[in-house]
Amino acid sequence: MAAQDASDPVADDEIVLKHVTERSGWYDPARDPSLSWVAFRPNKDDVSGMSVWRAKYKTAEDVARLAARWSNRKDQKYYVLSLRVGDLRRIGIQVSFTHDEGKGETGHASLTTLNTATYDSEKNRIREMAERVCKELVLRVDGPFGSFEERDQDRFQSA
Amino acid sequence: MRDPSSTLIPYEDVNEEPNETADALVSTEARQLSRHREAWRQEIDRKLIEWGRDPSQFEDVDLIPPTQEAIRVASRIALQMMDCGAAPPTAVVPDGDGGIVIERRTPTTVESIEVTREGAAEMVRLLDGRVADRRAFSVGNG
Repeated sequence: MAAQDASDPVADDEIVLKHVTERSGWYDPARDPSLSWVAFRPNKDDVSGMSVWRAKYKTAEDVARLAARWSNRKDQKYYVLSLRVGDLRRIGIQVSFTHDEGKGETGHASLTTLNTATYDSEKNRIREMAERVCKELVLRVDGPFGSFEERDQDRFQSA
Repeated sequence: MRDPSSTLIPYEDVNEEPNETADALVSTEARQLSRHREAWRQEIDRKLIEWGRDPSQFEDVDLIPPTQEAIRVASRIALQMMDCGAAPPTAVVPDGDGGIVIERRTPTTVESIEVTREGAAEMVRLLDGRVADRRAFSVGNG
């Protein structure tokens, strides 16, 4: 059983999960290729790295549900990408346990190399990494997950 | 203004069968050009114009909607590319910071035109996964 605080080191053989908002178009199953490198472009909020969740503590649906809860957009849907930690480290992306900025959820981690400051100073290196991740390292895509509020309400009413 | 087509992936369609006569070649090229124009037109109408009408659709904890300036510049670039017969984009997506990325791919080349929230445009070309070129992309004022 995993430790409750989930602060154990992130192992190479672990899977991490990253959500992608459906409306961003970063993942579009009707397009070829389906995934854009922009999904792994650090944005202004990625100060200490890009947020991911450890699959040993969260399911893909959990990750989408958390994204929906924190976005205040209940109509939003999410895809969830699975990545192996060892694959990311092999191309130079560090993965570390990090806290989830006080939201109290277990299993948070960060792709620490993919942060805002590094992107600003080493755009070419980060661009090449993002390309490799989207082209070679995504193991699977689940979803889209969404409409959680309605589903949770249905579950409550049928209980 | 620099002709955008001079720095971008030339259009080509490997599915087209070669034709014997000059008329047939012209006809094939015209059809291809028409398809490319239609693809650009769809990106402009269905995405860029729609984003300008309702940027709130992107509001999320980790996604800043494209700014009006980014949409204006990206639309101008798309129109230029369409007019010069460039191959259509494989993706037009928000960058998450208020900007827009126009992406075109071949099996070995990826070309991204990145428009920032302030409306500055940069072209980045990857060849076999490595950045081969990065330069400011000039946008006409017309």
